[in-house]
Parts: sequence; structure tokens; C-alpha cells
Amino acid sequence: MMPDVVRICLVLVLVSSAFLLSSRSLSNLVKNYQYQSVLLVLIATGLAVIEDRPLLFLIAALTLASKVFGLPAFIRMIQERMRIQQDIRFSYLHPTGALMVSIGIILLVYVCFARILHTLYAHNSLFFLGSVIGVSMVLMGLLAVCTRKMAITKVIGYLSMENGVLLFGLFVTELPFIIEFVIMVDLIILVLLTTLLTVGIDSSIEEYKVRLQKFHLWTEEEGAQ
Amino acid sequence: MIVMLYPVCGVIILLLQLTQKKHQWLSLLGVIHSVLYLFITAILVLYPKTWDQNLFFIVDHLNVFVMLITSIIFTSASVYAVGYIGGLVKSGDIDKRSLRIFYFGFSLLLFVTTMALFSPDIALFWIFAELTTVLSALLISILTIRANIDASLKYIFICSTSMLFSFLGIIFLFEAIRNSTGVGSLEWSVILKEASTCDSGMIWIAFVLFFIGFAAKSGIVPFHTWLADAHAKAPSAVSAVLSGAILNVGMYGIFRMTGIVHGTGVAYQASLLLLVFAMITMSVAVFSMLCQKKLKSLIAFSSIENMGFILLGAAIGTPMAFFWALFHMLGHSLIKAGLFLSAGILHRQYKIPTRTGEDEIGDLFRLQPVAAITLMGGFAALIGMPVFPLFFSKVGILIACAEVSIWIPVLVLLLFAIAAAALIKFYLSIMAAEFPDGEGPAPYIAPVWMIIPIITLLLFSVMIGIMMLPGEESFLLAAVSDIGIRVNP
Repeated sequence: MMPDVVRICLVLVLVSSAFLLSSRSLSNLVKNYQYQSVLLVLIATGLAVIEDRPLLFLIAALTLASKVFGLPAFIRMIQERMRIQQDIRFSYLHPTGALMVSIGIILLVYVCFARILHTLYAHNSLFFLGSVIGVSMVLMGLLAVCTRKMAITKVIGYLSMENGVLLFGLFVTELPFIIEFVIMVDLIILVLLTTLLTVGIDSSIEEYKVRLQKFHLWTEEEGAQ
Repeated sequence: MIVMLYPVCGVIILLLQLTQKKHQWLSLLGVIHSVLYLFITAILVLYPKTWDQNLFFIVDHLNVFVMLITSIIFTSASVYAVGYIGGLVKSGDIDKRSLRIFYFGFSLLLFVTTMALFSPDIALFWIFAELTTVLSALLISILTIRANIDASLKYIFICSTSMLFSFLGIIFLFEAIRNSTGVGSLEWSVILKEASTCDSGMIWIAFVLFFIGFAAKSGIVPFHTWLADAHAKAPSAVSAVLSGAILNVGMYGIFRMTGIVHGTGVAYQASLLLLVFAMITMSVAVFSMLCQKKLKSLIAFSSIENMGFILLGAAIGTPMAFFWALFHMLGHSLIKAGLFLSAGILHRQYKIPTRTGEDEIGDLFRLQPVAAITLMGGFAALIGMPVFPLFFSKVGILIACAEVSIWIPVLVLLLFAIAAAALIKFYLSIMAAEFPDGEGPAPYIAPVWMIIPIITLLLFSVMIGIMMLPGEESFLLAAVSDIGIRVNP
């Protein structure tokens, strides 16, 4: 029962990555990322039960706090201040082309992994599927970073890539928890900075300083010195 | 215990910076921080007996050597910043409110770079290397000009997305070690020791993925597109640090990883991969240098060329090649930092970026004689003239290349000639330019704090270019050995 649930979640994760390549609405993109992260939480929990690895419960909790609630809330707040609802511009590839390339990516990763890792996963098809989907997600996220025009959408593409790395890590090996934790902190710092910078690039630069003041990064008191 | 002084001093300085608001204090704390780190590193270099391995740090000749370069560059840049940043504030290029963010970010960058170099663990190294990207991007965007924010975001996106591939590589490496020994490990020393017993396929994938991320960090083609923008747009003190210290962090990671695969069954494939990327990098960089019209962009592309050359040393993989690659890293950092700092004086003199977007440099010797001379010295050094350290390292790596194939040094010499042509062409063009009578700008009096680091860096590079310092050779050989390359006594 549990392995089947994990399999379904894995397929849904892949669907959410595809949605990232085609959606034009910024709020939907954030929601999509949030759902993708919820699926990761479910997968981590499922694996914790199947494999009897309690550490994965901690990773699931960490993912829930940071990726399901923390980061989406922050990005949503920035989006509201930017007053931009849509990202309709694409570079290099339009959604249909990007989805076709994604199918190619998934097949390529499958074939490569089948050749390279067959000895490692010969006994467990679920782990093989998880690894393939994890790396495919990373590459699809990269495709989103390359094809989407607005910086804020690129940030979500990057976050999806990072979800792929997490998924791959969950299935392939068990890294020390402290490493997982510090990576999450590192990711949060990176996303906070990048998202703040996107305000300067996705909206008019003249308003940038005013907006930074709104986020309380600059104070009049400091400026008066 | 000495190495513990890095985090202790770093944390104290960072806390003090958080409490200060005055520019002078922030600036002074930045200088104290880098000078302290230079002092600690000097103790480590002079007294290897003080090195102790513990859970938190790995101390060997390789990371002490790279740390020495890092602390010299940060010290020069922080002293330079005393005069430079004040000028930027006066001219309105930098907002007073950004000063604390700038100095705190600068000190934090030194702190995380140090932590990256001394991390005993490949995953911690990855995390700190990633943080250097974030902090560098913050410093590039400090001017809050649209072009700077653009360059900063480009830097983050290219480096961070590439670094995620590196992390996949680390996961592969961990699993390969676990399959081989039964217990996974992320420690550099364990990985180096056990790599030869691991599955070659896994090690190969790990190497390729790891290389993608750290190649981006060092500006290797095709992951180089961020570098020219970021180095050219950043304030000059930051450009010096990015080019002289932060690029080396990426190269340090590649060196360590090359050492790990050296004893495995995929050493040949890894060398070939590095060789191909090195040659492509140098080719793209030198041809890009030919069409540069801006000084900082030219210097930035030259950094890409030099990173390609250092990578070539790693690709050849012999002790001699690694020895000169490390020496080239030192020489390149000193010269490149000096050049970026000189460019900062020209930027203040000619109010670059100008309205036309071009560097409108003229009457250079009359207006800025010191910068003109240091620029000439720096360009001569980059070309590889004798007296400068890059002469020896270029000859050394080329001889090592000739042992593999005579065509490699022939091709590289041709690329060097193109790079030299680009540098000479640019220098002559700015030297020949003169303003019509009465139309040139008034001379900019550069504060002494801006001049001292440039001259010191240039003199130091000449010193190491004409003689090997006592113990330098044995130290570098020991560093090569630490990479994992067997050095014959």
C-alpha cells in the first residue's frame, strides 16, 4: 500500500514540474511549488515508514516548515508588493516545446540510470523510479530557469531544482541530518536575497529603494548619518 | 588551536560591525578583520607544527596556501576600500544606508571563504562555497544600479543552479563510499583514501556533476557568462576580491576532486574532460578579449583565460603541472587584484560608467601616472613577461603539457599571443587618447589608502617572480601531495 502511495506522489511531483514550465500566473506558480513541496513531505514520510528511517520524519518536518509554509509565504509577499500577476514572456522555448524537451529529458535520464545504476537498484524498482524522477526534476527546473523571463519565476524554477535534489537524496542515500539542515538554511538565505533582488529587476528600479525601505532593510535613521 | 582563531576573530568582528554605524569604524573593523586573518595564516605558514586536525577543520598545505592568497587579497581590498568607498559615498554612487550592509557583507564573505577552505567535509565545503556566491552577489548589487542587480542575479542563477549539480555529485560520492566501505563519508581525507576502492562509474558521474558546479564558480566556459558582467559591474574593491580570491574557491574544489579521481580507473577520462574544458575556456576568453572596449571587462575576460590555464595544469595532472598551477593561482590573484584596484582609480578619474557607456580614458599618464604604470606592469605580467610570476608558471605548465603532446603548448602559445595582442591593443588605445585642450577632467587625487595596496601587490608579485621565497618550493610540493598527487622526493 505505502509503496504505491509513494509511486503516485512521485508521478504527481513530475506533473507539478511540468506545470512550472507552462503556467503564466505567478500566484499559481507559487501554489504549484507549495503542492510540490507537500508531495515531498508525503514521500519522505512514506519512505520513513517503508524503510524504518526515523530521520526522514525530521526532514519531512523541515520541508514542511520551510518549503510548504515559509518560502511560499515570503515569495507571495514580495509578489504582492511588486504588483505583477503574470509572467507571459518566454525565452528560447515556449511551453509546448519545453514540455516536449522535458519528455526527452525524462527518457534520457531513465536510459542513463538504467545503464549506470542497474546494479545498485536491481532489487528495488521504487528507488530507481525515485532517482530518475529526482534528477528529471532538477533538469526540468533548470529548463524553467532558462526559459522563463522574469527573475521571480526563475527563483521558483531554482526552488523546484532544489526539490529534485532533495528527492534524489531521499531515495539514493541517507546524508547526515545536519547537512540536510544546513543546506536548507543556505537555501533560505539564497532565496531571500534573490527574491529581494528580483524586486529591483522585475519592477522599475527607481522604486527599488523605496520598496527596500518598506521591507525595513533600510531605515531613515541610518540614512541620516 | 591556531586555526580556531579564524571563527573566533571572525564572529567578534562581525558582531562589532553589527553594533557600529559610523563609516570609519565599519571600515576599520573590515581592515582589522582581514589583517588578523593574514596574521593567523602567516603563523600557520611559518609554523606547521601548530596545525592540528579536529572535527571542525582540516588543515593542510593546500588550504593554507589558498588561504594565504585569500587573506592577502582581502587585506589589500579592505585597505583600498578605506579610500575608495568614501569616494563612492561622496559622489552618490553608493547610498550611506548601504554602508553597513557592504562592510558586514565584505567581512562575512571573508569568513565564509575561510570556512569553505578549512571545511573537513565536502558537503560543508559546498555549503560555504554556495554562501560565497550569495554574499558576492550582495556586494555586486550594493550600488543598486539596474545593471548591477542584473549582473548579480545572473551570477546567482548560473552559479547556484550549477552548484545543485555539484550536490548531486556529492550524493553520488557519498553513496559510492558507502557501497565500498559500508559506511558513507563526506570527509575529504576518507574520500581521498577510499576512492580507488569505489565503483568507477559512480566516481565518474560524481566527478562530472561536481565539476559542473565548481566550473561555474571558477568561470570555466560554458558556465562563464556571469563572470564578465559581475566582475566589471562590481565596485573595484569587490572585483579584486571576486577575481583574486573567490574564483580560487571553485578551483580549489576542482583540485581536490581531481586528486580524488587521480587514483581511480577514470583518471584518464577526468583528465581529458578537464583538458577539453581548459582549451575551450582559454580560446573563448582570448577571442572575447580582442573585442573588449572596457578596461574592467577586458580584465574579467583575462581572468577566465587564466582560470582555463590553471585548469589545464590540473588536466595534465603531473606533480609539476599542479605545482605550477598553484603558483599561477598565486601570481594571477596578486596581479589581477592589483589591476582591478587600479581600474577603480580610473573609474573615479573618468567617472565611469560614462553616459555613452564607453570608458572615456585619455591623458592617462598626465592625470593618473601611478595607475598608468601599475596598469602597464599588470598587463606585462598577464602577458607573461619575465620578472613577473606568471612567466615561470606559464613556462612550467607548458613544459608539463609538452610531455603529453607537443600540440598542446603550441596551441596554448598561439592563444597567449592573441591575449597579448588584445592587452597591448587596449593599452595603446588608452595611452594614445588625449582630450582636447581644456576639455579633460581635473586630476583625481587618489587617497594614499588606494595607492598603497596596488603598489604592494605589484611589488610582491615582482618579488615572487624573481625568486623563490625560502621554503616556498617545499610548501607547494607538499600542497600538491595534499591534493592526492604522489610527489617523488
